[in-house]
Amino acid sequence: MIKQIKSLWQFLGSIRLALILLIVIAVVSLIGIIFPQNLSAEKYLSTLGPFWGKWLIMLGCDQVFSTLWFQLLLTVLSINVFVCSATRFWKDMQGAFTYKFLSSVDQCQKLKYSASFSFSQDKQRIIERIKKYLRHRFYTFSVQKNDSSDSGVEVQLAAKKGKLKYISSFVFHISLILFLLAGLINRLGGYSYHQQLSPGTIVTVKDRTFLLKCEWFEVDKNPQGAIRDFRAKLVLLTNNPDSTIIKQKVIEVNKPLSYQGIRFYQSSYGETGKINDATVTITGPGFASADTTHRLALAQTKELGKSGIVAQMEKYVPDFIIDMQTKKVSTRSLHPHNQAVKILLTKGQDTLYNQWVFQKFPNMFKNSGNAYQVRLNQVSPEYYTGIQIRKYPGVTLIWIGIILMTFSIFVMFYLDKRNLWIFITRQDDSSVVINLGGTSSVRGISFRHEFKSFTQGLKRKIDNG
Amino acid sequence: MEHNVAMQLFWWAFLGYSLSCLLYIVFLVFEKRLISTLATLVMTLSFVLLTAALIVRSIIVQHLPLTNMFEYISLFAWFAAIFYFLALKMYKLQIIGAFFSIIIFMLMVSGSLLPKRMDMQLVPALQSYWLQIHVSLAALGEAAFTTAFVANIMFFLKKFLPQKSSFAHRLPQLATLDRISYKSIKVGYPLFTVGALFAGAIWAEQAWGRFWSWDPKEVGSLVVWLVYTAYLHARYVKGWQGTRAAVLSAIGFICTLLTFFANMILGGLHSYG
Repeated sequence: MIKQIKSLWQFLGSIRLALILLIVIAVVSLIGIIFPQNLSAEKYLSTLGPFWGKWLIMLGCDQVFSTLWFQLLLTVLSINVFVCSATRFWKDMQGAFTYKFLSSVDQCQKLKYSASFSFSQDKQRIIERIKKYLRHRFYTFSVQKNDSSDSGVEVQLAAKKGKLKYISSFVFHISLILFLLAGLINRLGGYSYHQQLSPGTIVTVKDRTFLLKCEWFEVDKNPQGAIRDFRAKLVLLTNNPDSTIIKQKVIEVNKPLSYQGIRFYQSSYGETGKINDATVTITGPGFASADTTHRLALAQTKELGKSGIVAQMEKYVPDFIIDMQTKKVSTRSLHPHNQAVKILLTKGQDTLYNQWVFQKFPNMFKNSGNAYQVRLNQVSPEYYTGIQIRKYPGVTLIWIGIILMTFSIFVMFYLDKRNLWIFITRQDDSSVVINLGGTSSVRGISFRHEFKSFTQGLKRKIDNG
Repeated sequence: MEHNVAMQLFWWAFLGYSLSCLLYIVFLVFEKRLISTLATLVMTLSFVLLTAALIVRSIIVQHLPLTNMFEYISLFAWFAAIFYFLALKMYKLQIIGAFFSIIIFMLMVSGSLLPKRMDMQLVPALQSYWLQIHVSLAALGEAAFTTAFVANIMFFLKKFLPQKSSFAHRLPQLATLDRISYKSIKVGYPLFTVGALFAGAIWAEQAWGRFWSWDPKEVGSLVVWLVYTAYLHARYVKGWQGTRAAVLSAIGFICTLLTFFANMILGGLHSYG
């Protein structure tokens, strides 16, 4: 039984399984790229045909990343990473914190980088200076004394640098587990939904006791008419008669509002189908030629200059349509396809003008015999803001994972593991011979330079103290 | 007028890269050192012209040229040229330059076919410093992968051409090509991980509220990352070298190209042009 468990453990943590999983997940993900995801069944059937479309849906290739089998693949990958990390953890720790000594001076001299020199100084003093110099060069070390009947007591120092590299692989894998765990936590405990808010509207927030209000919303366009930015002022209020402001912020894309683990993103906007005001041109008796353009707010009256005429924009529809039987005016859609306003002009008790005016058809009633003509120039639409509201409890884990993985990647790829061995032997003539050898985890000239400079520096240190 | 200047510089650079590629092909056939030297000079000049094109474009649009496919591939070709110079300096093998020039030429051809509009007004989602970090690091990482791919191509040629072929003799040793590929991936992998994946995820969270949306471009980048992760694991732990490693590395680069074109064809959150 124990043998089987051990075999299973080894299999679950094996590199072979890891490679298979990585390639399988990559291939499956490619399917998710090639076939557009989350479309309707009819779309797949019409595009791929009834046979292939049906099979695509049956195999879950229409929503690959949400299928159980894809989640299972990720789960097995998590297990593989965990088992592999746990298995290697002790070995990595040992590698980082234990020191391997060489068996003899010969072995040291056979290393790719080696040097030897002698001094006629006190051996103990030399050893202390070597230790000091190793610390100065950020090496950690351990000391071993060997009795050698031929040449006296031999002292060996085993030094190493770049310990972080030993544990970097472990940290990398742990961060991967954190990502997968965060994904699971977000899936189970998080939510996301879209909320449309017109300026002035107040709504409740899911799972929370406070309220969300959109104070105002604006669209910023450049002189060429391209959207430069769109932003909304959001206010969080207490849900009581006092409606105290808890927090407020002007949000834009890339600058969300955060509160109590909920984030409010400026996601989109659109027209509500209403307008803030309209600009009209009115001509006729009583209007001077320079005073014909007026801005009217909906349902509000406005006295037009010295004419004594009062104007009112009674109604607005974005896409005018009229029932010819009932004569009822309504709108075909919320899109400004055929904008129209109903204008009322009065002077005292007299109604001078009361008609619908169409932006696209300015001359519709030109020859109606009315002395007054009204043209609709432009409207200022009322916008709603689209707020994406998200709660992702796993966010902290993701950030930790990003920091750890970034750190570990750079350590793994750009930090060397360096080992030095220093043998100190007292000769019969009382001179002290130092044999020095070193290895690095990477090939290349950088360790050659370091070894050379270390050797020169060590000689100077021993000579001068 | 400034738009014309930027495009003229691009076309001159394109011409230069084309000429350099042609000269290198002649060099591959005739093995004349003078031709390879000339090709390197033309490549250098083309690099300067492309640099100027990118700078002028940046001045006109008032942001780094990173916001559409044409700008990205121009930057990608620019970074690839830097790796070309590094490879020449480190290995002193003109034949490496020859294969590099072919790849860079193909990148420039792809760029020349794309819409070249200048986005003077960035859409709100792109108005973030993460644009510079994410896109430039991703391009730099992919340029490093390109270097590996160049080495892989030469590896396959060396491996599978007849041993008596004089062309095969001119190619570097298989072990050298394997090492070039590995070192390039070692450079590219951290840059790609941090730039393409992490910086992209952080920015996505700020802009759209999600670190990861399974968008085609995101998934494509993940596929590239998974393949190179498999490569590094196979190399470190299983000791894979030579042909198997070269195949996996080449697959990684092909996935990189797929990711690029998937963005163009399939749309998604990244389809800015």
